[in-house]
Amino acid sequence: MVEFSGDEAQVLARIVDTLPAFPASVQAILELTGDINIDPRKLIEVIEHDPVLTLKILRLVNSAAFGLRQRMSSIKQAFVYVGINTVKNLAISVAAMGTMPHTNMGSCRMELFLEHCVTTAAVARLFARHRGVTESDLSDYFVAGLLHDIGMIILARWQNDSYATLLEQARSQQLPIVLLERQYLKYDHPQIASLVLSRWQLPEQIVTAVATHHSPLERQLTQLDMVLFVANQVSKLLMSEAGHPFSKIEALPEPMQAWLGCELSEVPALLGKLEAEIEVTRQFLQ
Amino acid sequence: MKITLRGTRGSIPVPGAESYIYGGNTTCIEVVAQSGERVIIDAGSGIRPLGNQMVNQEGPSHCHIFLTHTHWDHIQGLPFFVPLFIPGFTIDLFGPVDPVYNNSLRHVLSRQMEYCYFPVLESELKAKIRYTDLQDGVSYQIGSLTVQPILTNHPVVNFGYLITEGERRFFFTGDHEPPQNLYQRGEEGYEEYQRLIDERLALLDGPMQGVDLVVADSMFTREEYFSKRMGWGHSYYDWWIERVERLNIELIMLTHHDPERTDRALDAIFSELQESYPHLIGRFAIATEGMVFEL
Repeated sequence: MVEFSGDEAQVLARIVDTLPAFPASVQAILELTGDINIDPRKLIEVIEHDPVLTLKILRLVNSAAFGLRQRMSSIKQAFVYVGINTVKNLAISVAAMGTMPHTNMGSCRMELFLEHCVTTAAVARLFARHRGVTESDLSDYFVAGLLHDIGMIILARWQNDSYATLLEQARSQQLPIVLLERQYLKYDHPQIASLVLSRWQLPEQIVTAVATHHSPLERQLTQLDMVLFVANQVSKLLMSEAGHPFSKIEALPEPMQAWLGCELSEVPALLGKLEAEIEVTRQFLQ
Repeated sequence: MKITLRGTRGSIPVPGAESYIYGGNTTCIEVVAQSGERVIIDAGSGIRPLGNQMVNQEGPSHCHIFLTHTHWDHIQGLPFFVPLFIPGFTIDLFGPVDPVYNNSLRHVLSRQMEYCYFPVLESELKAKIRYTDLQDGVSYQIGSLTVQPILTNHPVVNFGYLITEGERRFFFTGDHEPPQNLYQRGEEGYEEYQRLIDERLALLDGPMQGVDLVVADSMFTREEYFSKRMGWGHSYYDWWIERVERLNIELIMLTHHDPERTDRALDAIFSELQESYPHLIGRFAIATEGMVFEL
């Protein structure tokens, strides 16, 4: 794990603090809601123990969109009035997607960045399922995919203009942004991401997979490392708009290629309902 | 008002000899006001023949479609509702928004007419179409009819509709499941949850008190419901019949028939219910496609 000096650590901590929290309850909700036979009482318990999540869900249920005559003042009441399914979907949406920022990074439009994150998350989850990962573990793959590039957001806020220049250079020269970060900045975005995800107390396997998603051979590869790396490249293949700063596809290291056993371009066909998965995830971000 | 049941099936249309009596079309109810206006509740496959009739006969070229919710069996007839394609018709569509994804009724409905699902885009339709996102309890006046949406319980936001004309009242539940306590008796949380359910049911029971006609989602038998259908968003026959007396409802028509239910099976269920509730015979019946009620 990368070490930061005192001043840098303080600056980074301040930037990280401007991002929404990603509390443990989010992880619990993603795990619970991955099970179609979810025990609704457990879901109530998890939500009620997180006051921020509770408030956000109640604010949504009480919004004009729902148009309820009664004001909902508890999660249980929301369950009774709008149903378990709706509250469950709201919880997933509020929990996972509330963490993603919505401001542009230099000339790179945030919607492109989010499209890449959302597609990576969807591919990671479906590909993990294809590889036999159990349903209850799929949320780790989804979260790793969604947040793998979160370090870019921090770098853009920290380095501002110089990072915008790097993004432009990556786009025009078709270079992986991570190479330019390593050349011109002190830290690359996977290192910064690992700091953020550790502060959010995400499971260790997610933090390490994200920390090494551009340098997978630094350590013994886990299944999550490999799925994340593949999903990241497949997501770039699938992006609707070419020439964005993170479009350069990286070659699979030999052990990973052997594990994959096919070409990257063949992966989407293995995933079944990928479009639907991406669409649902994208909707949550709106 | 004149009420015609145009579709009584749940989930998916079931054409064929085994649904000949009770009907195979999915949910659609036509209500014609004394003042002549036409209200249509839900656009299951039963709306298709109604649309053909509207085009081929003299009558108003303006109708009001109120959707209970946008699950397939309540909207699948809409792309085949011919008045949508004819200049000069005006269609007012009312229904709930999708609050989870914050999508308007128009957005949700137009999605089922995208090229990958249907050859004609929503934007290419020739009728004048207007959309209104509904709010719980907020009424609309359609000629001599007052239509009030009332939130019922389903896995998606779903409105029942109370339609009033003078002293006469008709209630359609849309899809509805009786809310169940998630906690066992004696478990922490049971009392609080039960109180919330009771308050919730009081809000539903209020508008149904003394209604002339209720058309009610009763997809399952009691045994089916409690053995494996809880949480699916539908009611069972007994739950509604037991409310006939309590709420002083004149007549309940049991609808949203399970697609697996044959005419003979529905006949058998009706006989059993008559045996179980002999004092209420005449106050409940199985909804049949084509039935007409004059209130």
